[in-house]
Amino acid sequence: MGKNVTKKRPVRKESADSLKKLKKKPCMFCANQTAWIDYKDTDLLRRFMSDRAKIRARRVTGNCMQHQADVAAAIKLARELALLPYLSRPLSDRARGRTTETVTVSDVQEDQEQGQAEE
Amino acid sequence: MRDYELGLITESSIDDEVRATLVARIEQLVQDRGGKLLERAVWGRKMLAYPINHKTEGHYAFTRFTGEPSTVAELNRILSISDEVLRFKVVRLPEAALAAGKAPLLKGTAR
Repeated sequence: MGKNVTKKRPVRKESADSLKKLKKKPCMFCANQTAWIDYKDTDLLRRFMSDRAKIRARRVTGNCMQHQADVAAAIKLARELALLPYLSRPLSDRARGRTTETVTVSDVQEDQEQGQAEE
Repeated sequence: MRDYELGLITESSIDDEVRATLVARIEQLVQDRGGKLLERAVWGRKMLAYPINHKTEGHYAFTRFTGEPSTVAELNRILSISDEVLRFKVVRLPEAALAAGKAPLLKGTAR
């Protein structure tokens, strides 16, 4: 009886550990040894933005702290030069936007839900 | 001496000659102050991500050069009072990355 209990415990602990390791994405820029993130490379930077043109969080992109900061700076620079938008509304949203110009509460809620879904 | 990159958006409606004189003026200024022109990329007409001065299209050009910080200050002064310039930005490049050839100038596709 006592033997069985001690045998099971370490197995359970191991599986929990491997789950944690699976969740962690490697930083793409560290893997590629990128020296400088080009603000003109909009195709690359768009991968780190949501369809509302918001910068994706580090927990979503899997970037390391340094490279997330570099990506954010590059996106902001690209926005200044009109290479990337400050905001864009998804197509499903646009028809509704014509009738009501102001941002409604449902818009904000939807945005928050989307953010949670990304996590 | 430091490495810089100038991103320049001019109005797409102006003549190529007018644009060429502006570019020549910029390059002359850099060289007069002991700087060196490194690379140039012209993207041409491109849609802006959002309208600037009620314009939806601009002419993109990027130039890399070396120079002193005072050169950049003078560039900022001249470009901010040029009528044909929609927007511009001078960015300092990391020297190490440039020397190692790890920061190639992106040749965009003009539309």
